[in-house]
Amino acid sequence: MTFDDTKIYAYFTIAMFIVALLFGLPGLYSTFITEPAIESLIYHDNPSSQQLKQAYIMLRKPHIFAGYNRYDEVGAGIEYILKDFDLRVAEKKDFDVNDTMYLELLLERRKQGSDLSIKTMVFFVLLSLLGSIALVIEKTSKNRMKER
Amino acid sequence: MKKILIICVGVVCLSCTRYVELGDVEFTVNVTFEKNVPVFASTYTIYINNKSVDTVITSYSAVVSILDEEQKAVKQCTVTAEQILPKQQKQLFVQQKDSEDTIKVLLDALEISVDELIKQREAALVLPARMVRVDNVTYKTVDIVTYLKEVEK
Repeated sequence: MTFDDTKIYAYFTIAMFIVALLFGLPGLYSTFITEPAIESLIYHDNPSSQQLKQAYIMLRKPHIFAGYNRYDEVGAGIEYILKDFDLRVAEKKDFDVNDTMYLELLLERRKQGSDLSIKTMVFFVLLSLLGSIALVIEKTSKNRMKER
Repeated sequence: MKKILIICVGVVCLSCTRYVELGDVEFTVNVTFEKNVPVFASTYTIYINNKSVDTVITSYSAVVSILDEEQKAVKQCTVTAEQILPKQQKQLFVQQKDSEDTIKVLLDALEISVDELIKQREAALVLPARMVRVDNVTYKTVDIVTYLKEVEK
């Protein structure tokens, strides 16, 4: 059984590029759309309780790469922030400027998720590039063999 | 080269499974007996723990049975709860007047004598998981973000 290497390299290149897009798009969307929107609410001059709550609700939907299901040592405190803030929103209690630092922690986690997403995308783009280089080399060597 | 590429694809497939996790509800039943022989005033404190991180339980009902050593139901309480937020614990109290005979079965399972209990003004026991069974569970859940948006309207 013989393999057509050119086809394998072509499929690999396309597959890695699609995977790169799938991993990268959530990070790019978060970096360029969601995070600036949250920052505009948190870093607003004298933010109102409503704006801070809005920012929290946006942060409550986790980034796919920075979910709230698992925590390392650094992120262990986040569970307590979520527990407390969920209760405060549910009980319609006000948020104040002192809560900004906790919202910043959640935003930081989201940004780390975006970084991971974009770095993963770069990794798969490099794999795709590797595949395309292999494809070019394979085609060139085949052409040379035909010429001989 | 082909082998390396195939191994790379394999690694991608394996790593995807790490992100799947389901929420759950956990029960703890604590019983407090008050001295009032021959009738015991028993308070069954039931803790319902929403272990999920992103799901709100909007309404919950279940039958909590307390079992003896032979796994027969000694007591049954129907519990209902509304709005249990993620990672929150709800405390429910069920107060009942039990006869000594009813209590004895429970205490035998826990290897505590009734006389010992009568000497104390109040005794609290946390039942081990093997003595608690939860049946007829019905519940409704909603995603936390949807819930918070609804509250904020």
